[in-house]
Amino acid sequence: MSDPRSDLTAYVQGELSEDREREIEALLAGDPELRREMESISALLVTFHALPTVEPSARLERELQAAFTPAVSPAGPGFFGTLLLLPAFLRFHLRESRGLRRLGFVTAAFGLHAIALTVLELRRAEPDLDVASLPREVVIPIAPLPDAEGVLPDLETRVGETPRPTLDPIDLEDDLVPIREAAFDDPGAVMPPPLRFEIETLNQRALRRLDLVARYDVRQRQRHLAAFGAGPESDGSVEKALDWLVRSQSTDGSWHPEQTGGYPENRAGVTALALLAFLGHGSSSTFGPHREVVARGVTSLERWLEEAPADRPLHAHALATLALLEDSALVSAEPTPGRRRILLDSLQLIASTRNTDGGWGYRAEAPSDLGSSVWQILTLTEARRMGFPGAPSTLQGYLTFLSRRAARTESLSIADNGDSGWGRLGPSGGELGSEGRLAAAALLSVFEARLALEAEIQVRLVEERHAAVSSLDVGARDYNLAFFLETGDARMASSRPRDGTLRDRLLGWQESDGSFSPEGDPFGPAGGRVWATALATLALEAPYR
Amino acid sequence: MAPSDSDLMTRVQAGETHLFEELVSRHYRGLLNYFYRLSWDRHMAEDAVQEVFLRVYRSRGSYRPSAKFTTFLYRIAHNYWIDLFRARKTRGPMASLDTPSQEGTGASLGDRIPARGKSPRESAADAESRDRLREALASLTPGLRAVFLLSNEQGLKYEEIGQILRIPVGTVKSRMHEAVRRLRHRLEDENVE
Repeated sequence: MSDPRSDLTAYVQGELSEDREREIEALLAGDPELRREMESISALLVTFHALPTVEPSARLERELQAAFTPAVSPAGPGFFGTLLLLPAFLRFHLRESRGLRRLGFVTAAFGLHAIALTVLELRRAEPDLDVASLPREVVIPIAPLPDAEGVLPDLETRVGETPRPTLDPIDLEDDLVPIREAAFDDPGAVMPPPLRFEIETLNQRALRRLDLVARYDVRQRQRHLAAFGAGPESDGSVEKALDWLVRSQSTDGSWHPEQTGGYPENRAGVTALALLAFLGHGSSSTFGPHREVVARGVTSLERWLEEAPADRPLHAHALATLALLEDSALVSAEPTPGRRRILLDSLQLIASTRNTDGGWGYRAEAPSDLGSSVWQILTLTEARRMGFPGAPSTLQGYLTFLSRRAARTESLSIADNGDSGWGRLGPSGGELGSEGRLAAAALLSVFEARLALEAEIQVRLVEERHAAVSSLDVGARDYNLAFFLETGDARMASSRPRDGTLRDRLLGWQESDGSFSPEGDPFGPAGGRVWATALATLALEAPYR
Repeated sequence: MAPSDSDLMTRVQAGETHLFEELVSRHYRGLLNYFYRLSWDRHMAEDAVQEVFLRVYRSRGSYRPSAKFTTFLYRIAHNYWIDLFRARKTRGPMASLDTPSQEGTGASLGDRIPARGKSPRESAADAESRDRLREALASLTPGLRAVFLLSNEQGLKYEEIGQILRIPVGTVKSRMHEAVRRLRHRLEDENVE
């Protein structure tokens, strides 16, 4: 039986089941201390409830009445009032007129007056709102950038058209724009609101490199861990997981998901995730305790990026590019010419496979999907941090895509598409955990694209995070959600206590050999144990990534 | 028998927009006090009431009769509060009860709460007690405060609160428990001091 003290408030408020209520009553009868606590809670609730209420001011009542009260026409006599005034009206005009020939004119004038008043009354019967102008659907006003910058002049009219715009990232180096989320526009939506954005320009050169290397410095990592509330337990968990990944690496440098229950076509993506876990812990292809593991993995990814067909899985392509970018950042200030060429080609592929609605599918030409798009954006923004150019319209288009999905579906939910298990954005009605995953993913990617997190996004992200974490059954696993939430949480300002719920849950999922089981995760069958272990490790590394 | 909120809202949806006034008149006082206890700012609370009803009106097309109107209303109110909260974070702390009102009287909000004929000393003690309660409430995190107010002040069931905040009922229960625990802890600490 759970601690009865945690149920006392619900007991006082009559919110317990009958069975639990009887149990609590039995305990109260035999435990004077528990009874005193219950009485104290009851007194506290009554005390707060008795705080004085405020009465609406005359201003509020007047303004509510003006806005919502149907017309009782205080300003004029109206149609029926005019009828009552007819005798006096006629008497006046007939007396003043020099003959009955004016009667026709007077009657006509009276009729027009009455009709006008009636129209005014009918108009006033509607609350004082410009109802006709109220949108049935939320429109996200994102002004298209000029053609000269290689940006779609009107995304709306181009949806579904081919070919895609060809974007040259090199030429756009000086025109990158960070994206500032202006405001969430939520005119009463009962689901997560659509987003409204605005664009502002900033010189890209000021954003180069940032402190990527510093974040991976071992001493910095320890400081971040301490500041984040993570102790030796979570760091030890990461090291155990990395040891398991070392043991499961194939001789060709990659990780084979099919050997641990996943799909073979996800090999590159899983390899990239595993590498990112090592990179996040401070190892690169040239230094660190796992440098040989990373070097072999990076080589396999470089080969895949160069040799894989153009119709490669785009999420895997983004992850592989991201891993290569992070390794490059750790190894030197500037990538070698060969690595730079691979990275530029990879980034170019990301730019050119963007759909005209602003998102990416899991393959080129496939419908856009948030699950794939998020990784493309995370990769593009990491490239931007390193001084690689990106396309402003790519980021802007993503926000357009995101906003329209949110506006169209009124929620960020996910529907299992039944084949790969990756799912895609669907109409509202999905599970809360799925909504939370996508909302967290979308918000994290927006944050990453903006390089700074403003208070309003923090609030929304915290809310989504709490809702998503709360919605998780203790036994259920969702490694994607864990990664997005923990990373988003770590990106937020340090002025609030960290919620360690999910971290503690992750620690509980780790098995004695250091790995994490994919069972129970909606994407587990596709990714397998390597995928689950890599994502869980990335989530635990969130404080210093 | 008077039509239910849900009936009224359904008819408003169908075009009988004049009936919206009845919904406003039924709920604006409750909504005003909800916002007031969230913010302790009367003007802001009154503005919020108007804005929320406008949003409800605009969103009438998305109302489903299967849902309680209060759930729909407070869901929108909650979203609006989040907007206000964001703006407030950039404006600094909440106004004190001792902040003179903006109505030209010079009296504070605390002064305008009726003292029901008590002595000056008793009145001062009451005012101090109210301030402590308000400060304790204001010290709760937004998530805990919303649950506490919706439950204890608005009298909504945990299930409705869960729908409003989009969290499971179990989370509502645990947040309510946590809110009460923190309030007790804070008030007890002050008594010790």
